Amino acid sequence: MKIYGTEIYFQKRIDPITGIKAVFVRISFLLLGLGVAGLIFLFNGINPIQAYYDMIQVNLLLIPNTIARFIPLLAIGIGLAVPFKTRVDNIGAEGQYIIGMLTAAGTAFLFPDLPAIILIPLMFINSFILGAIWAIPVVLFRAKGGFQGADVVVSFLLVFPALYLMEWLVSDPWRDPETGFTYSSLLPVNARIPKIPGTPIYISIFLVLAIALLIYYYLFRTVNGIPKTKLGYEINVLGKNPLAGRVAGMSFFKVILITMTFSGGMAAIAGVGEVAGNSLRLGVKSQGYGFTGIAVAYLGGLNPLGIIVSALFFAALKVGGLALTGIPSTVLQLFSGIVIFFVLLSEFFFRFTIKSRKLS
Amino acid sequence: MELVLEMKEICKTFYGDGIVVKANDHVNFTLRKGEIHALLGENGAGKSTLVNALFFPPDSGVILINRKEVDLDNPLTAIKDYKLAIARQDLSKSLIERHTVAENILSFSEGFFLSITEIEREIKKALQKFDLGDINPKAKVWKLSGGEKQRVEILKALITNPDILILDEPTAMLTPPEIKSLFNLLYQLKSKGVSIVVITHHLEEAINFSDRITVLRHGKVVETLETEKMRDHRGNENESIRYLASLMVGKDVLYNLHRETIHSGSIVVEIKDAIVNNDMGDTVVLGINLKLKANSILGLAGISGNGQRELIEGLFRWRNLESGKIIIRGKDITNKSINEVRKLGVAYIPEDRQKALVFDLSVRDNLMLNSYKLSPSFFINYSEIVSETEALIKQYNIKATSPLSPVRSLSGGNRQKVVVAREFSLRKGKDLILIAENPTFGLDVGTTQFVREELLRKRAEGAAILLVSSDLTEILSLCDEIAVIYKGKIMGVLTREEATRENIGLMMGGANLSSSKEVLA
Repeated sequence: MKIYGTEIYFQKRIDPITGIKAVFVRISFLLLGLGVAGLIFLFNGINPIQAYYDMIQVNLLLIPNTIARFIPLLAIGIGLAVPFKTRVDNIGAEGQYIIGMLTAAGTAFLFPDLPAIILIPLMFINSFILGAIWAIPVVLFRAKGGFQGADVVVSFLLVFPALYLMEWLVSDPWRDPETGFTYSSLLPVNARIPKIPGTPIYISIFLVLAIALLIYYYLFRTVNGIPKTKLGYEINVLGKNPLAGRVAGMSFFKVILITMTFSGGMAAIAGVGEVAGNSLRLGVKSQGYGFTGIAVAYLGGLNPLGIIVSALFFAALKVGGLALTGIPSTVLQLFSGIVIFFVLLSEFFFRFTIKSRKLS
Repeated sequence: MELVLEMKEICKTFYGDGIVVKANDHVNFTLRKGEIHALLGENGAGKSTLVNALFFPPDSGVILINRKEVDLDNPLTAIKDYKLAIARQDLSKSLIERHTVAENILSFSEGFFLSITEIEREIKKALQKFDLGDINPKAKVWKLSGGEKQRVEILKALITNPDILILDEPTAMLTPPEIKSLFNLLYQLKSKGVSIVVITHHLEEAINFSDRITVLRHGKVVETLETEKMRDHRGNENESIRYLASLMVGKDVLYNLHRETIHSGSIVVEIKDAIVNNDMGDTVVLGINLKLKANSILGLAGISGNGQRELIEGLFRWRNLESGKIIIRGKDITNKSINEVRKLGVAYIPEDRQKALVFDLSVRDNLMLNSYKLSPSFFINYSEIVSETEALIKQYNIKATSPLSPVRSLSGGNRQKVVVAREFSLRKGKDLILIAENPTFGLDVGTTQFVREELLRKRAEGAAILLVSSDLTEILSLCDEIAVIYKGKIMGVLTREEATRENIGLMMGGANLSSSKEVLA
């Protein structure tokens, strides 16, 4: 790009930004996003500083609610970080998440009389498997097809069958006979995930946190540049340069099969928690956690420890929305959209620097 | 004689990742009206770069067309205003595979409204007029054979009725009768006053069909000759071919390397009747037989693009063989995975550094690319990897600020040292099978010497080595046996004693074996 005899151009970074500096870059982009979103508030006649202050206040009052929202975001974020690191873009976590909800509800409706100790784990296992299966077409098209962007297209398109399946199920076979509204009946009591007494936090938070830490320890953490497991190393190499990985004898298919099925399974687990721990019934709309999860994973720097923090942030954003009364709900969506956009924008600066030179 | 084109002091330098290549170094070139001028040289000599200077500005230099200095800053001005036309070598970039023949040529049509049927009619007429055979203008390009694609590319250049026609390796995909009819066509055009540049590395083509020949080597002009005069002077055609070959490959002295005489051991790798297709689906390796022996370096000489890449990729299981067999240590690996080939001790130094290194990962990550697999469980053996990578860095003297700094931050020479260290340490002694593709390409003098010495050391330790190189001096200095590949076939395998720069140069240029033997006799 040329402006008045100065050429501005992008250059690939030689030394990657890491550590504290990376956190700093991410936070500054976040602030930039909040700033731009503030302008939107201003146009709607709301003082953005007051609005953000209110959002913080609401979160402080409703800490347990924030944590309840944090559970699905963390599960999806962790699940997405793994394929993202392999440079397979699973942007269809929303679909896998919905499939998880459906499977959990279906399992519960099918075996309402099983004791909770068996039924709830069964719901998790079934959902994980079906969520993983929902992700497999992505693997096949990406690894065996000739089209590099197949992961994006296929994973995204698979959201819609899941969504419409849910719409059909709640408007016909699973429709609540008592009220006749388009949502399902309540889940049987045995299928409800226990909560920490006095809070809306359901206990699968421990499962999700444990998985996050295990993934960090076995796949992401490096000591002197060496990951703990072969799979962790293969993810690193194939994510940075699949060509070199394949020459060394790695199987791209195998690695993305593992990462994508894990990702689908995790999104589905988030769905189980949401339906059996929070809403207790299916509706026609989903919460959009699957798409927010993409931003959670990137804001967390594709690192489980960072993702725990970023999932908390996005959960707070959702809960904070409660404070913004009197503005259209579309503005709220616009608000989170802008924040997500700026978070993803920062990824560009991790890969490129902007330089300028005088033209002679 | 009227000069239609003059290029003066053309310079062009390419900067790769850690590599600097002076593709054109003060090149002077002239083209007379109504002549066929052959640009001759090995791959990487700078032929294509030189003609590309007519379509994209070079780093420095002056271009005159009809004695007027011109500013050719984009291909369209060159084609429309100065009546230049080019048929390019890389058809996968020059033709749009998903479009039809007519749609590919449409981009050159004049006028505001485009009529595809008109173009199709024009194409049919032109095909007949130029005698380029029968091609359906409605056919999608990806469905065409290599030869048909080549003819479309030539037609694309001809259809603009150029004054100056440039053909970059026009015969690579054509059959002998097609080549003959192409040159007949060129003679016709020439008689109408069209000036033609033909880029080639086929010596016979240059001698038989051109009026003048300019030989390029390492980005510089070696000589410009009048073909007639040279033939008269040299007496017969064989003599001329021989002279051209020597100009093309140069007279560099062999490198001074410590090379022990060792007798080659048993056969380790056998390639039997290998037939391999390239990405476009054309058969480019036509039944090759080669044997790799322990304690020995087999050189594969040839101008690149004659099937070496596909042969190596086939050998390495990156690409499927159409037919034939590959046997490593008695095991048929024809349908095995890359990983299984690797497990048999096959180390590989690819020409493309992208295939060898992960630039964004650390030196250590890159050094452990083979050895991380060694532990039997899911886990990586931490202490072993640390000590091994530290040892390799020391042994191969890799200069990096720390084992954790990314390979991207290393110099070109040190990057290649990382590859060499990793691959050479894959197995010890006789267990190592090494495939090296242009392992010294673009390296500084010191590292080049180092890599060559390492190759010889591994040979002495018992390894079986296949060295693919477009650098003849390198092949002659290192190898025990030299196979020369030309158009997907092995022209012959020479022992170190039989091989001379001249007869290899001849075989590389496609002079057939019997005539080259005559020359030698």
